[in-house]
Order: sequence, then C-alpha cells, then structure tokens
Amino acid sequence: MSAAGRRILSTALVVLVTVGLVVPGAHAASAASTKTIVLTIDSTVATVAGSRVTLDAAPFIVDGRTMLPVRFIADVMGAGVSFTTRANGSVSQVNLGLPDSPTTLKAVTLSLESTTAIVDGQAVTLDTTPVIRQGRTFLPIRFIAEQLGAKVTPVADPSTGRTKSVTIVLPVVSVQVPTQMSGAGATFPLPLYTKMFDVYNGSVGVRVNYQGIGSGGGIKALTDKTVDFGASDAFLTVTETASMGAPVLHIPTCVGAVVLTYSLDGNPTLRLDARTVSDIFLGTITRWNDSRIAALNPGITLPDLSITTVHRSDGSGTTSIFTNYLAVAVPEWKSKVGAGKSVSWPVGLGGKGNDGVAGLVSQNKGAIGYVELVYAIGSKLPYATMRNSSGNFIVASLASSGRAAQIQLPDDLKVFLMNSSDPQAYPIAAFTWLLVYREQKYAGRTLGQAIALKRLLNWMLTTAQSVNEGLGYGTLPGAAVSKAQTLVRSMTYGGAPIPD
Amino acid sequence: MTPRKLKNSVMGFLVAASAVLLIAVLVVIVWHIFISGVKYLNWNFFTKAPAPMGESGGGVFNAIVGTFLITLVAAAIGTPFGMFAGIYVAEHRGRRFADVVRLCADALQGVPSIVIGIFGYTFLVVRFRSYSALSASIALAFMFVPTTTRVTEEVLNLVPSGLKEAAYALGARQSSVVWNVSIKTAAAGITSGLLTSMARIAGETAPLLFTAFGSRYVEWNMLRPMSALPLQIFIYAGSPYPALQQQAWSAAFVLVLLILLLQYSAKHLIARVLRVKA
Repeated sequence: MSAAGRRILSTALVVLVTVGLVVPGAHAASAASTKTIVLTIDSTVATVAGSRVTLDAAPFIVDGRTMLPVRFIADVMGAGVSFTTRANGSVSQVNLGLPDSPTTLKAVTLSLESTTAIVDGQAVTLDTTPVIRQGRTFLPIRFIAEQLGAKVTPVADPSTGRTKSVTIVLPVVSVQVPTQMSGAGATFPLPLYTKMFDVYNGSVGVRVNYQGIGSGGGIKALTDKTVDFGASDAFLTVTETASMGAPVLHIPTCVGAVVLTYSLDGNPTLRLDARTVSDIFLGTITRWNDSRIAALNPGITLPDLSITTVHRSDGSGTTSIFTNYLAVAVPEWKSKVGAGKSVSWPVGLGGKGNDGVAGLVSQNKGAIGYVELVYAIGSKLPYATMRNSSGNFIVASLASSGRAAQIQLPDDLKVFLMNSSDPQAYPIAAFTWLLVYREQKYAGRTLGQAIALKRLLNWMLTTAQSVNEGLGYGTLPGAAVSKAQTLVRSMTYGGAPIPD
Repeated sequence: MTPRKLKNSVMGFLVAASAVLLIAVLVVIVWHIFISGVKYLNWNFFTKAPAPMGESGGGVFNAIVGTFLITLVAAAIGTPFGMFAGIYVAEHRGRRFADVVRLCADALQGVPSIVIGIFGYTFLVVRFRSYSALSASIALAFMFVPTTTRVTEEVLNLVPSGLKEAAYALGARQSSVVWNVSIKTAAAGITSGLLTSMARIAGETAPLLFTAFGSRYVEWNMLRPMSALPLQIFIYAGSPYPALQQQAWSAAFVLVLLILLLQYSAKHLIARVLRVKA
C-alpha cells in the first residue's frame, strides 16, 4: 500500500474510532437521600427541606387522620395525579402514580365512596376516604407517605395533647428524565413545531427533534414505536386505531387553515363559497368569467380564461381538511368525491406537497389550488376570502381560524372544525394533533421518557401557545386547552398517572 | 459527396454532439448550482445549526457533520467486507463461488437505494425502536460493499501478472503475494475505489429518509437521529420559506463540491496505478 493511501485510511480509522466512542454518558442515579417535610395543622405554611413553602390549602385533621391537599402531594412529593369523574363531572376516584423507585410508579387509587383503596392491584382498607372541601381534594397523608416509604411522625401540642404538626421524612427518588425526544408527522405544523421546540430547548434544555414526514408517515412511525410522538392533521381512522394496538390520545396543538390560492393577473382578492369551490374542483365551472364566480365578486373583472385545478398528488392532511370541508358543506361533493387524505379527483393536476401545488399554480395562469395558510403567507401567494356557514366572507387568519374551534368540543377532541357555526370563523380550519400512546410503558420506554413527554405536552398546551400567533397558527381556545390537559393527565406509566 | 463519406460525417457529427451534450449537461448543472448556491454561502452557513423555520440566519453545520460521520462510518463498516470480497474474487477467478460472489455484488449494486432504506428501517430502526445515524451508516454500507468489491477486483486485475509470477517464482506464498505484491501495487487504485464509493453514498437521500431521520441539532452521537446534506436539501427545497430554499441551493453546492472533490482524488489516485502498469 502506498504511503498516501495508508495515511488516508489510517486517518479515516482514527476518526471512526473516535466517533464510535462518543456514546452518551448516562448520569449515575444519585445516592439515596431524604427530604424532610414539616406540616403544621391548620396552617398553609409548611417547611420542605428547610425552606418555607405555602400550600394552596391548610392540612386538617378529621377522625384522627391528617388530610393534605392533593396538589401538594403532586408538587412536593412528586406524585402523578388524575381523577376519575362521574357522568355529572364530580370526582369519584383519585388516581396516584407514586414514584417508589427511579424506574417505576406505584399505582394507588383512592375512592371517595369507600375506604377500600387499590395499591398496585391489591385492595387495601383504610379508615378514611379522600375529602373534598371547597373544590379541593384532600388525601390521608400518612397512608400516601407510607406508600412512598416515608416515616411520618406526628408532634403533639404538650398543652392540649392534640397533633400540632406532622414531620415526614421522604426518601428522594430521582428519576432520570432524558433531554432528547423525537417526533414525526404532519408537515403543516412543521414551522410551528420547530419554533416551539427551539424555545423549549432554550428554556428547559430539552432537545425535541421533529421531522415533517407527512401525517401518514407520523402515524406509521408511532405504530412502529420509533418516535416518542406522532403528529397528524387527520385523526386516526378505525383501521389505523386498530393497528396501533393500544389507545392513542389526540392532543391538539393549534388550529390551522387551508386557503385557496390562484394565479390571475393583478392578484385580485377573490371571494368564494363552498358551492363554487366544489363546482370548480368537480369541473362544472370551467372558466374564470363564469357567472357563479362573478356573482360573488362584484367589481372584479374576471378574465375569459379556463380554470386549471391543482390538488395534492400525495396522501396529505391538507387534502383531508379540504375535502372534509367540501363534504360537510356540499352534499354533491360528498356523494361524488368524498373525503380523505387522498381522493380520486374528477379533474385537475396533481402536485407533491404544498410546494408542488404552489409551484403548479404559479406556473399556470388561471390555475387554482389549495395550500396551508402558513405556506401561502410564507410564499406571498394570493388567497381567497371564504364565505362561512353564517354567510360572512372571512379572510383566513390566525384569529379567524382560532374562532373555528369555538364550538362544543367532545372530550377526546377528535373533531372536525370545518364549516364552524361561529359567525366569525374561517370555514376551512382544523386542529392538528400530536398523537401519543395513553399507556407510556411500551417497547422498553422508561419512566423518565414518559415524564419528559408529559412535560412537553403540557408546555405546548400552555406556555407555547404564545408562539402560535407569531407564525400564523390559531391558538387553541381555553375549552380545548383544558380538555387537552385532561387527556394529558390521563396518560399512565404502568397503569399509574405520570408525575408532572 | 459519396454515400460512404456522408455516412462517416453524419456519424462523426453524432458522436461529437453526444460528447458535447454530456459535457454541457454537467456544466449547466454545476453552473446553475454554483450561481444559485454560492451567493448565500457565508460563515454562519458552515458553522451554525438551522434557525427555526421562517427566521433568518442559521446554517447547515448539523448536516455537514452528519454527512461526514454517516459516510465515514458506512465506509468503515463496508471497507473490510468489500475489499476482502474483492480480493477473493480477483484471486479465485474462474472458481464457481467467486462467480457467485461477483454476481451477488452486481445484483446488490442494482438494488434501488429506496429499497435499501426500507430494509434499514424494517431491520434496524423498528428493531431498535429508534432512528439513528448508525442505522443509516449500515444501510449505506450495503450500497458501499458491492461497488468496493467490484472496484477492488478490477484494480487487482490490473496488476501485471508478470509481477505476481515473479514473486511466485521466488517462492512466495499466496498470502504474501496477495499482500505484498497485488495489494501494494493496487493500493492507490483500491483507495480510489473507496473514494468513488464514498462519493456515491454521500449523495444518497433515500436510505437516509428512513434511517437517519434528520435533526435540527448538531449531533455527534451515532445512536441518535442525525441530519445529512441530501436530507437537508430535500427538506429545505420543499419548505415554504424562500430563505430555506436558497439554503437548499447552497447545501446542494457544498454537496456537489464534496462529491466532485472525492471523485477528483479518486481519478488522481487511479492515474498512479495506470502508471505502474505502464
């Protein structure tokens, strides 16, 4: 071997060996330590590891048992909490996930109706039930603390002989929460997610790697369990749900809009309605100066030009939103074409991706196609004002698409927002969802991964919503956020609620 | 003009035109990529990770790192297999098994890269429940091995048989002849083959889509998702933001430059082997 050749090869090998050694350094679990909590009865001030903490409600004693607000158990003792509610919305059970080791949760369920609690599937009899006072749930502290392996010492007031304070020595369990996560799916919210995750990395130091491979790809990746979460613009079909093998939660992150963009001289802002759009895409309106388009656009001179429709050639969440809108609004569309991620189009050209559609529209004078609002804004394309179900012409915007979600929402949030009944809503709007398994203990996932995912979802529903507006995505209305938070709270690890 | 002369000049013209066309296509592609890409090149482009979509600035350092790591690791995995198979085939010409190996290498070379990608996804990504740069390298190694095998074989066949016969005549064992004569003589050629194979896999996109997955962060860990230049070009070219589309051109320019550089070094090395033969 020549000297040069040998040098190249050996350099390459050195580089490779070095690279091969770069493996993440797992932090060793910290040594067992304890945390001392001192609670004073009927006082909202407590001491946690030497520092003063204010509770949202004071602990009290009932039938000789000290009761503590559930919020404190979640925040200070690191428990995951969820509630089982009756049909009327009142709480019937409190479910706790108590971290009893760095990798496991102890599932504890307390019933408000009976003194029988369930600990990891075993029935345990208590001498008290949880108590609800002024809308807050209080739990018997000794029982909970002992499940966590804590020592509970009541301190009596020497003058009265009654319990004055309670000291809890709690073993500290440190769960290793990973700082890397990955997700894949819809391209529609991709700009939003990259921005959100950039902010998240900056503020929390957790890298979330999201790749826009399409809604179908995201569903596939979650089914194959190769990502922490999937993302989709269309909720799972019955077949897709079946192939997931376990319940999947749909967590909405924003409201997006699909707009009709076109290529006409002078870029006029056209007004359209569902009927006209349907006729254009069915091929029954073939020229721009058709009386049906002209009737909607008084004052705009429309050219005597044939219409070329452009649609997506790939399976797409955008197509799903667009065709579902037409199917909801126009019966003829529903019977002739139907709705879905890909449909058989009666007429028109196909382009791959939003960019493909936009490219075909801009290259063909007289063409019309549908793209996501953020894409139209980013590429400075003209887009039509749409007539909504109340008869108002609405410009697509973050505000008007957000209004589309101001409707009665189902608890699972799997709902179409198209043709919203809100009078100010843009009609072609939809939620885009993150998809996660409700039960997070699968395919070797750790408790830390489950906690990291839950934290991310809660962050995206609250703090991160301010990112939406800056990028042209509609923020979630309050009702959607609280329902989504309930869904996130219902996530479990090994059957127990995941700590925040 | 006689019909014979006419035929000659027509054919001559067609041959020359084809040659010019070939050069013209390359020149047009390189020129277009150069013009579109070079104006957005700046220091940040080479040293920074991407900015959030729609924001200005940022670069493709993550993809540059990824392309180097993924390609080098693929080459490291593929080189021994490819080289040894090539030596075997060259040394046992005419043997049935050697023919089978050669046939398999040719068949593997013909497998579309998208199929290699799906293979990597099914057997590596799904199995290990995670996208990773390593699975991308392994998938690319499957493309690297057959080309390396064939190139090694071809280069070893170029070694003058007189040289080997002389060594045998001096009583050298076969292992000694292979190592000290054939490989030493063909080393530059084999390295050139490795570089050509690397140039080939560095530009692959399809296998990476299913395995490397991409990442917006600069990633050095082979067990995590990683970006690469072809992936970044693919994503940016389809993005709604003109700034990213411009970066796609710049990334394309860098990638083409890298591949041409590898090809050029390969040519330079092979020239030396041919000198030895002469």
